[in-house]
Amino acid sequence: MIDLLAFARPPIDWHAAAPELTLLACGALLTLVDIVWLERAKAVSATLASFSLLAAMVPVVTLAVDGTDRAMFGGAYTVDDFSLVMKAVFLLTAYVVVLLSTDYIAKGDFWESEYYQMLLSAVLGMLVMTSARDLVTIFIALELLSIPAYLMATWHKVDLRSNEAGLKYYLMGVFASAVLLYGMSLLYGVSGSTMLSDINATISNSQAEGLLAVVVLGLIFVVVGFGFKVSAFPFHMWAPDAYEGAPTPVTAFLSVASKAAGFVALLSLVFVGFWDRSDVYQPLLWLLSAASMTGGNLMALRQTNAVRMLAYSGVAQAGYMLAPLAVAGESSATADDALSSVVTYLAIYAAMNLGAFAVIIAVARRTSSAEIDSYKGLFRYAPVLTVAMTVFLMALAGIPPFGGWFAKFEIVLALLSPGTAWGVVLGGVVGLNSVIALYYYARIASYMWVEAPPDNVQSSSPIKVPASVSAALILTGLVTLAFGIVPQWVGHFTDVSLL
Amino acid sequence: MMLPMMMVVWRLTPTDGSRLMVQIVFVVAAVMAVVGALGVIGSRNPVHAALFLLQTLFGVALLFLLQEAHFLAAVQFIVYAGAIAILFLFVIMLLGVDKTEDLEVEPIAHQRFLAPVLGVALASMLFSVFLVSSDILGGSPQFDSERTLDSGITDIERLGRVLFSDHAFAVEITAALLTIAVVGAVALTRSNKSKVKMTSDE
Amino acid sequence: MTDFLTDWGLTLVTFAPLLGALIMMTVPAGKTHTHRLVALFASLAALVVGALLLVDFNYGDAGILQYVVDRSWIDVINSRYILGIDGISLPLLALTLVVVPLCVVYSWDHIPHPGNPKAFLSLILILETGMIGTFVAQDLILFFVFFEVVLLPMFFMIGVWGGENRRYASIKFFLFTLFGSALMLLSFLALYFLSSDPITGDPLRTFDMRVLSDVAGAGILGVTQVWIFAGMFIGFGVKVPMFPFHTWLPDAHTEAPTVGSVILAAVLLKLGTYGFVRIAVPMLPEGAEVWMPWIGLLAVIGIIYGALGCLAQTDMKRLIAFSSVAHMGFVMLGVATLTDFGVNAAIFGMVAHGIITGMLFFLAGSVKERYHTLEIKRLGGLLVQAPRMGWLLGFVSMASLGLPGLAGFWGEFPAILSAYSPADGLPVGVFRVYMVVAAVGTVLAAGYLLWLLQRTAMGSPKPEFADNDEIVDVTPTEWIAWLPLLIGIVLFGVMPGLIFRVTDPAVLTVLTEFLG
Repeated sequence: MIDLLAFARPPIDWHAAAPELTLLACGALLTLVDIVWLERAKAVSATLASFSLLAAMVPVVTLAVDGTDRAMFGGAYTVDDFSLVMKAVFLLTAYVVVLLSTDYIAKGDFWESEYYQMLLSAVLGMLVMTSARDLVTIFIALELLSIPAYLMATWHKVDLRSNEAGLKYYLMGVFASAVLLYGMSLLYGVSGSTMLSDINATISNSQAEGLLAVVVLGLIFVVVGFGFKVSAFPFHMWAPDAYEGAPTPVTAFLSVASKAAGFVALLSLVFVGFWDRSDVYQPLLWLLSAASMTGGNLMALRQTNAVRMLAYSGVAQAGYMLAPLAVAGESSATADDALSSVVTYLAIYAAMNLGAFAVIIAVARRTSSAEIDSYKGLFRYAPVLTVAMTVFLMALAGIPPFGGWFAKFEIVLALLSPGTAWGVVLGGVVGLNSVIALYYYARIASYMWVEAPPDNVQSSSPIKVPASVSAALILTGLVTLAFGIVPQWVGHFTDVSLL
Repeated sequence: MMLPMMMVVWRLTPTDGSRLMVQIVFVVAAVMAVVGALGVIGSRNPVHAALFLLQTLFGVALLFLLQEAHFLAAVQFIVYAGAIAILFLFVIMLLGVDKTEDLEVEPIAHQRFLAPVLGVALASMLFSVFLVSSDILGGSPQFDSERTLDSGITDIERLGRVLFSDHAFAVEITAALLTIAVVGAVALTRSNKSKVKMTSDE
Repeated sequence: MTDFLTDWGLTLVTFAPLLGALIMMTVPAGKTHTHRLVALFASLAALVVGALLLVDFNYGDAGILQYVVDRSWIDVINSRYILGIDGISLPLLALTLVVVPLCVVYSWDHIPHPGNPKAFLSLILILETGMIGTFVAQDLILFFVFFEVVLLPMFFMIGVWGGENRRYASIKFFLFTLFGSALMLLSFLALYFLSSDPITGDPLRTFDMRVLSDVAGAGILGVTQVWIFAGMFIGFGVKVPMFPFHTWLPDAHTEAPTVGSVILAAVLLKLGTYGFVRIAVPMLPEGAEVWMPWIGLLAVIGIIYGALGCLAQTDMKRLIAFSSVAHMGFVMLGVATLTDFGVNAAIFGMVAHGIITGMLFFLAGSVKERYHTLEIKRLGGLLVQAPRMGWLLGFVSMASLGLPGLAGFWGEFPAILSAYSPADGLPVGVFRVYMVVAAVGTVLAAGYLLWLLQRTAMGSPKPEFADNDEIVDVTPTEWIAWLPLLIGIVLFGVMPGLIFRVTDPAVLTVLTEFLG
């Protein structure tokens, strides 16, 4: 018998865990304040939440300044450039979501303090996800970020559509978790370790051992499981309904942060866990990417609701982001290019998509609707919002000089750089899809600019936009523009490597 | 399914006098599990079905114990038998035990036809997986020797060590996950301060 | 002063209009007059700096880039902020700098429905930045960004201030151009990945247009060059627009507000031809050699098709739009010969077409404002009702059909002549056929323009407009906006050397590969 007292406490690098711990402490504080102050806590909860997020930014910055890669628990928890950049993206995204929520949640029929607690714990899950390099941590992080998200989707309890959204999202999410877990158990079974680096070492020579079938099945299940999370075609069915029914700030959060978290997990899995099995994941991701782009765009063409359209456009955007992974295994230089391009895309996508949702929230204050028809003639009575929406839509479409062009450009660059036929063809698919996508983005733009306002919308006075939403608009707008005009600013940070 | 399972047990158990005992326990547990499973589909009363399910779960837990998977056996008892089966019973009671269902209605189109097809497909898939992997399971252990269980410590203890060393972070963060799930569930189920109003279409 | 100009001149010219647009965004929409002043001031500021650059330009060395700025921009993709002008950019830059202030002046009291001068003038200024940037950029990615910046303002200009079918026209314009630029970008990327150093054979991995022109496609197989050229051909060809990609143009022109049409005709179309001369031909000489006979063919089809299209039009603006297709055909024919003579003619043709067709659209806009229609059969007797305007229409039509002594002549005539002896390696016989067909095109041009003139300017006014007080002669604002263009038509017609002298050395540089 081994003496239990001989148990050695694993060494903990407190600095490395500081962002998560800060957020955890602040979340606990928020809960305590809520319990002690009851109704009075409502007034401060949004402020407290936003300060929590900013406070968690501080250790992220100090870690970035410090610059050394840190690993805990035998590498299961790693802090490197990639994780720091993504942590910053998540925290800032969540900050913008708080800005978008403040007015919406306070005015509506919501549990306010608990809403922010949900938000913070989801962000905590995302922060953990960026550093997770083993299956267990990845799974726990996934659940930690998903469960609050399910709850938030159904936060508008009196609205049946919100209930539907939450339930659908929950059921599909749980289903995806099950698929994912099954895949993980297969991989664990083959490699005997939950560490991604061990898995890579084992599965790369598994062909000789006759376990290829299990490895392939495991990889497929894991990728499919995250395919749900990033809403890649054909695992996107939950997204439009969940997006439409959920409270709009939550939708913004889901479409940006939740999707990005799925990508973060997928990135660390592909680059750390599966990298040597490019023969398995490349064709899989190629198909997933091409299907997402094409399917998402074709369905987006038919939408009449702006939120649903953004949901389908999000499917297509997920396809663009998956694309570089389909050539990532060609060489380590290609892998670095692919990773950088996806991280760049995630950062820029966060800014432009949040911006678009900010406009939708602002416009819905007047029109009480997200139908595309209700955007007709917006230019006549809300020129600033129109310009902002145009900027975000055109950024999503990838038109210079707005941020999105650089994101797409990096993707295509990464696809073409290995010079393989598959990469070139997928690059062509990206190009073709950009043109298709342009049509539905341009349609909203032309509704806003060209048409006259519908009769049922009072269009004589400008829309009053709450200060926090304006702040969110300015923030996302400036970032979208800056990343488009001086892409080096984002490129400098996203030039990361996982190999 | 029982025959191949038995083969596996045979190969994995040490070759001394205890083998007979192991076989007896295995047969008892297996019969328990299979009879329970048949009972679940066979019984007309949902409460009985749930109880049969419980029996199956117990049988499987015994099988786990037999393979020295103590932790798994405990989890099987606590989570499946203790929590999930009880939850089933709870739901059955909530919906009303005495309600008879109209068996003519097919909620999913062609389900009567699809059920056996999918069932056979699933069974043959499981069986083929078994066939493919049986020589691996029965053959020489392919994992390096450090990973094989040594009889000195139980797997529960081993698991505890791993959880609080390698996976300490995940365990700690699970605390946050559970807390927030409780908070969310409470907030969601508590009736709102203001009157609950349903939208008109329902 | 000279140092400052060298380092900052081009940046200033490019971004002065954008700065103006930003200032306008901070001014409340109600202050119409302030907006006009800011817009005028910003465009004039760009013109003044541009004029200083023109004065300071070393004309003896027009073949090499001047005022070069080379700073880091996007290091992660090896793209740099490189600006510079040579003899090819210079005339087009000057054209842009002159046309935009005139448009602002014209807009002084001609803001089309539904108003909102703030947005309208801001868009013009943003457009100007995009256009200037395209002409001065010397990095492919920078070029691409500026090329695309032009897109949105034009889309909105047509979409918001356009005519009845504005939604269809604007989206068509947008989608066509974007489709082209997507392919163009893929070609740029192919250049990036495939170009290699001719001596060491190392991959270059650069977007620097100077370097890429110098290596002239070294390391890229002929077949590959043909494919890359095809991407650029569609990208630039849509913008020119070449037959069969021209269908967006008549719609866009017909629906666009006057100023939009002027900018579209005067500058925007030149972005395409400029791209051919600056990028496609020097960087992919082997691809160019294979494609040029086909481009020549499409060019002459464009000439004839445009001319016949003109004869079939009932709308004055649509007629002018089709004449643009024909005129850009002459420009492309000049480019297609790959000779010094032909390319010079093409660049002259770009400038001349910019001035002349821009002026024609101004006139069409003013006619529309007075008659509220551009249907040719309802018009007539302009010379009676507004004699000065009628004479101007006559004068500009003469210039447009290529009357010797006016600017239009020097774009068309040498282009046709150059097709007589195209560069070595191009099929001489085929080009001589093109020459004959193009010559027929000039006759047709004379036909439709005179026909237009006869039906709109001559005769007596139609009864419905006979006693209309709204029909006044040229107003002072219009004179201010038009005079510089009219002077240009005469000046360049009498002294074509003004432009040829500047362009020739630069064209020789571009065509190094073909002239041996």
